[in-house]
Amino acid sequence: MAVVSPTQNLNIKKARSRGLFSSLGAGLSLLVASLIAIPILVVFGFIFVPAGDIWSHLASTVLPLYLINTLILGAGVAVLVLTIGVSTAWLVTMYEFPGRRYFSWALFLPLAMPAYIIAYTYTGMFDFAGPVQTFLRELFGWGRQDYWFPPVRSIGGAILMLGLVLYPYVYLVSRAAFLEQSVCALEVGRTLGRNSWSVFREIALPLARPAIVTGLALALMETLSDFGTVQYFAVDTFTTGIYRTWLGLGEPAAAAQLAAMLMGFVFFLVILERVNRGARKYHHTTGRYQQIRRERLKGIKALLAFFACFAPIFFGFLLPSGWLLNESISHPGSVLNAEFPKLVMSSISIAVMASIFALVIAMLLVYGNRMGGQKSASKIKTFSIRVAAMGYAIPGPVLAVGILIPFGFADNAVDQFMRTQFGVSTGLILSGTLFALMFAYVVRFLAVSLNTVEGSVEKITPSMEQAARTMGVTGIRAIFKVHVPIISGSLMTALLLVFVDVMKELPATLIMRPFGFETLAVRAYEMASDERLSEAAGPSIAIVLAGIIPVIILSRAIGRSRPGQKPGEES
Amino acid sequence: MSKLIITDLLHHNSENFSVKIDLLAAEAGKILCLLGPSGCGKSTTLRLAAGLDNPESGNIHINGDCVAGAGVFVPAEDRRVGLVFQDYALFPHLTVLGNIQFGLQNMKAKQRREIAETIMKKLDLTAFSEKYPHMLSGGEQQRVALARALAPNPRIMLMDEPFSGLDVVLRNHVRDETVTLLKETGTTALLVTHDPEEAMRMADKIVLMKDGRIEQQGTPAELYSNPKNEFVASFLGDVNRISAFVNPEGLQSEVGAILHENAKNITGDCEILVRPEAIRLRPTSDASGPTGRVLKSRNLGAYCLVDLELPSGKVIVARAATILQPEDDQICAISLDQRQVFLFASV
Repeated sequence: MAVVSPTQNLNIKKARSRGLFSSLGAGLSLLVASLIAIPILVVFGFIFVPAGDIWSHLASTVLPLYLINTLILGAGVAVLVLTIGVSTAWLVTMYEFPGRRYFSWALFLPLAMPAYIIAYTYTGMFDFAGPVQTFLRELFGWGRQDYWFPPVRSIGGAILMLGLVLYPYVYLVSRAAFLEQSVCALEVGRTLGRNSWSVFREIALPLARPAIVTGLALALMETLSDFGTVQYFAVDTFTTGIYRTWLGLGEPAAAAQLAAMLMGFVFFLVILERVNRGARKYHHTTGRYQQIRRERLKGIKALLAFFACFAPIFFGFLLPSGWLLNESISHPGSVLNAEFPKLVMSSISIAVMASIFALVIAMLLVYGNRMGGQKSASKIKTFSIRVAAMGYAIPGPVLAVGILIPFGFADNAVDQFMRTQFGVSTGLILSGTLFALMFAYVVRFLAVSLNTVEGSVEKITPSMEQAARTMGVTGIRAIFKVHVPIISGSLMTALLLVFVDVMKELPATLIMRPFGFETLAVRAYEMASDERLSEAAGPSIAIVLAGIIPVIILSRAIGRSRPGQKPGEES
Repeated sequence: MSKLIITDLLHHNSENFSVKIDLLAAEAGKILCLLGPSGCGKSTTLRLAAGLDNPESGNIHINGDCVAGAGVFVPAEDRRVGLVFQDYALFPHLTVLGNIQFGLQNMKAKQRREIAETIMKKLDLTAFSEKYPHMLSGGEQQRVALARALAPNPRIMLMDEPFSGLDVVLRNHVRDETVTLLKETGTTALLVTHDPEEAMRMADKIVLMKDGRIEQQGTPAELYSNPKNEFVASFLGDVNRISAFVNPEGLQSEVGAILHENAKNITGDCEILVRPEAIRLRPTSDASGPTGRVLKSRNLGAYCLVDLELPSGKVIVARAATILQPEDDQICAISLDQRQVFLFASV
């Protein structure tokens, strides 16, 4: 047909503009991805920059120590989180015993406790001057030399602290995996003559393994990026090394190279997780789910199960937060002072801003990707999303180094240019500003909002949009009538999760904050470093309280997630 | 001899649902079907037999051993029963061979291998022994599930809707195959299904359940042709409900007079249940006997279904051989196969 009708013409125009939008979207996604990739690229770029004597000095003195400590820490935390996480998940999923309903969500609680804060509280409780040892000395009349008490501030202590607050990652994924498994498979195993231990070991555990490895990888990434705990316990690892080399020795190149090594470990974990996920993805052979019938435990078994679940909650959350509460009440000065409201306000306002930024960028990326368009454009967009989500794996100190170096370079260049051309010095425009800090937060936590937004937008199937279209609801109206009602809850979740992560963030804030700018986390760290533990309690308890929010969100989301579970039935 | 005997069983699934069975027995080497609509307690009964749940009261005997009763409860792993679920519940992380050998622990490797190979040969699975379940088709998965359950030589096979995952074409084939295999191996089986056709096709004996109680048990023919009540009659096949009344001459209805032994217990109005195939049609112009007008007829291949309007306006369905398919609007004389007309004392 040679004649093009007006409507056809319009359609062609529309299609063309859609293509243009798609390319624009791809460009935008790529821009965001490259901004987020800057810190990683900078850090790896420094591998090729000679750092001179300082590097050989580091290599011969502290590097082996960093390596060994990091490995011991990783191995210890791995054993601890696997033991606690998998066993408690299995108990609350498959058995009925007193308190099980409460444990199933309370086991998430230690997630609210940042590792550096639990480290201060345990030091406060169990160190030489703490109430426990004092009590023992008074009770038995011991002197300083008369007894041995396990030192809290040691690598063993660090493993314990990190294990106690990181096991929920493993608990979370293993519980989800156990809930997802077909009960029928386990029951068939029973009728084939296997007892419940054998069924656990030979069916449930192998099936849950990919999920468990994912949880373990997350916990180990957190271990690698931990700064507060190891710094406070004087266990030398890469994060403390980067901090010291950067601020103490003033050697950005060497710090960046240490950061690159640390990123190497992180990438190893990322790859491990990916390979593991790809290689053995078990195809569940069932689409049918049954209500799980939990076996009722009695007597000593019920008691053991109770304590197995209670202990991690007690030591990982109740005891330290109780101590913090007690300290803040008995030293009201740490909360009731002129500065505290200011601290809370600055923490909250920066966390709110960062979470909004992260959400907006995440929405742009997700909707940009959803618009579709040419194959090449959508490939670029998908790739960009994957890159953008990688920031979560970058430890805080590495991020700080990776951002401050290029920002400093840019500042100097601008300053130089302005001075030679106009005779004005501009000084530092980017480094040491809230903008730099905000940038760091967005890079680090974009993955959180990205995953949440992506997950909820996926729930809106193309057929829903098409159904809306047949009813004449398109474009902006479709967004408000179809999308917004479906995803609004998840957007709130995304905001909250990032908000809390920013509240808790310590190392990047510590290194990058503008002069005189303090958050609750920084204050808690500073007070604790000065051995003013009771004064650290006020800010700490505020952070822990904020941290409980995502725990509630998580446990509610998971309770609803099991297919086949009747509505209203708590799992 | 009975392989499985359940007596005086009572078990609450929830507060307002209980299963109560006075007597249920599965004869050795026979296939017993537990039939009923969903939520009738048939799966609960199977789980109790398997030892996956513990009954509140009552006794369960397998091969004469008490496996559940006063103070006795033998758990599933010690009952030596085979279990096949609707979704097969194959272990996705094990190969076909691994799945089949799973129940053969406490044996030498060689012996395990031999048993597995024999059963795989019998079920035509040898070629798949190293494959994983997700690589198999639905019918093959079903055979693996069967082989896995049979390998440890169970005392009884328990199957929970084992064919409902298959498509219609495959289903009939697999059903017949399964019956052959169970008969060949002399295995006693308890099969749960909601499909009356499946039960009639496979069972030596059907136990029809409703609301946790047994409505009737007997051979498929007994249940179909001699139902004890309206529920049994209508569950096993289509029925037409036609109003009738009893007068001194006997049971009268729009489709003719009926001889039924229950008629003597009834006075006045009642309802009869008539299977579609019990209604025989003959085109006629004579309006003296019972007649109906053909509204439309649907040809279903081997037979046709005829919608028939009675003089009162009531529409009933009759089933006729295709070669006898009447024209639309045709007036037909109606005669009944009296054996397939049911009258129950209390409706």
